[in-house]
Amino acid sequence: MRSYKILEYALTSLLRRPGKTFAILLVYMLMIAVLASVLFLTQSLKSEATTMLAAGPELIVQKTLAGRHELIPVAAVDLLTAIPGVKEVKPRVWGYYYDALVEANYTLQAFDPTDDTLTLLDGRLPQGEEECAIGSGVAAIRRVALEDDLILIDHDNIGRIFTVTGVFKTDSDLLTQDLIVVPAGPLRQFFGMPESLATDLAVSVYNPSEIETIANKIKRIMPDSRPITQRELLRTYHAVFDWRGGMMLALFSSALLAFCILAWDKATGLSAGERREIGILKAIGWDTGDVLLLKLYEGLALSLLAFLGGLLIAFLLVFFWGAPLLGEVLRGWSVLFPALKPTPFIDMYQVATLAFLTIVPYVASTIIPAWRAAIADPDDVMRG
Amino acid sequence: MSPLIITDDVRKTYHLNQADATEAVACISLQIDAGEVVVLKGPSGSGKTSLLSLIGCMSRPTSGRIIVAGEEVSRLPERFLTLVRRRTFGFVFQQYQLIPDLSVHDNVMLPLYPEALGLAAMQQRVALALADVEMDSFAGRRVAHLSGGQQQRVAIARALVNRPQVLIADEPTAHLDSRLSIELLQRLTVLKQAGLTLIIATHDPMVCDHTLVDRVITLHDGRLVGEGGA
Repeated sequence: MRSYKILEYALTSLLRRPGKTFAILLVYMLMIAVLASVLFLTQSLKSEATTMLAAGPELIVQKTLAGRHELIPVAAVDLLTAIPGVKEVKPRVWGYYYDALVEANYTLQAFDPTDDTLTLLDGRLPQGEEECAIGSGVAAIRRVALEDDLILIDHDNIGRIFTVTGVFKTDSDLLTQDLIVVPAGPLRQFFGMPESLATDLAVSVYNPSEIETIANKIKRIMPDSRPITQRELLRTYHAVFDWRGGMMLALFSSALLAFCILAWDKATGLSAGERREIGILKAIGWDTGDVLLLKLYEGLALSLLAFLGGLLIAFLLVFFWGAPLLGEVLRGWSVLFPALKPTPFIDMYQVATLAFLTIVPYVASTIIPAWRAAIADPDDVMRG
Repeated sequence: MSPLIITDDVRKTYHLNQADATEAVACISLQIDAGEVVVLKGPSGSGKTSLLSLIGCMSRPTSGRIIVAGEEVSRLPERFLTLVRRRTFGFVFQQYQLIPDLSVHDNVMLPLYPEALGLAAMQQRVALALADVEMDSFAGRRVAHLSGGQQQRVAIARALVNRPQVLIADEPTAHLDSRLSIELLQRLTVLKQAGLTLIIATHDPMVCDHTLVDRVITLHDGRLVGEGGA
């Protein structure tokens, strides 16, 4: 009953100082919202990347020349298929295209009927030589829809016309936003890529635990190749998102610092009114423990409310409103950003860390000055 | 019967060992019996309020002993000192020291929070205390919206809600006109008749000369300079 009464008094105390309470709540909530947004977005992008790569090939083999990516001979397919444990080797034809008209980069990929990661939002997959399916980002930036013509300049600087037969969608658009899929033949012609060459080889294996062994064997058989496992790709993606998230957190750490200064300012002194109130409570029979409990409840109520409010704002910002501003920094270098609608994914460890780093200092900054006042004689406290 | 309160050579120095050290109370020894009404009289700065604080366990003496109901309280740990303060004393401060944003009811209920009482019992005690000072109809009103006299009545209700043995009042008539002062003295007379010990610091002759007062103790520069009946 005593705790409940003191809790009630703590809540009414906060409401008795609406200006101060609201100001602290606002600053605290905004800081949590910003920091949590970065964490949520980084984590969900990593989660998206994991999902996306899980559906891709287990192993990609590229040819390198002077340390750079080169086109790989299709003849290598037979060489790799002969390695025990290899299930299938498929040459992939794809490349990048810079669209000077809208200053955007696209990924052009040959149509693979067995690729089930691409889901059409509308229309059908390309069949004819002059047909293509495009990502929703390409459709938006070039303002083309189904049955419209998409003109791209090929390697001979000649305009090629493709009719849009479909628009892609995936859960996050991370994969298909900047994608243009055309049949393999026309794509080779477009890039000027000989039939004997491919961009890379996609290798699938019978036993995923043997993937590292097979990658080593490929490296031995083809010394100028670079086998990239799905795990390595995932690690790279995670490292990139972690780096970008880290950069943003470093920037926003100034917000955290400002908050700490606010907390320190609070910790180093009480207002005359607050000191007087503690003196009165002590004089009428509250002991130090009662006063500290009161301040603990005040600090916890305010910080928990602000923390949960900040998390809610961050959740809505990232998972419902597509992380405006933050998304552009975290997603990539292209001007054609994926229209991100990431699947909600929250790392509770990160949330707990954020809670610990913000709630604990705030509550401490509420309790310490109150403790200093509460251990003094009430007469001294009221005299100031 | 042993006295309820004994001060034995009590001294209180503020800012001890500093250049601006001030001796507010110097070597005061006195005894107050249960049910007695004692007035501490003297000009401003004579040490009345400091002595009240010492007697009421609101501050500790620099030296000397204070004994309340047979227990020496001057060296008690803070927790036990608070308990003595809560169970034995009720305070009416010069500036009332109410919390202005709270209602009359909530101000009066505050001393009961640390007690092991149910909500109904608390409400009942608050209602009784407010009725005793005729402020029950103002229970929901914010203290900041009350007149000085009404605030003082709320302060008295708050002081009495814990049913203390001793009521300590510091300059109770300082902010009251003569009509309200008479009203207050009538109220204090009722409390005396109920057996409460009253210790009042004042320099108001109307209080010092009132029939309710058993003894007047005169202070000057922190020292006891005179003692006698009203």
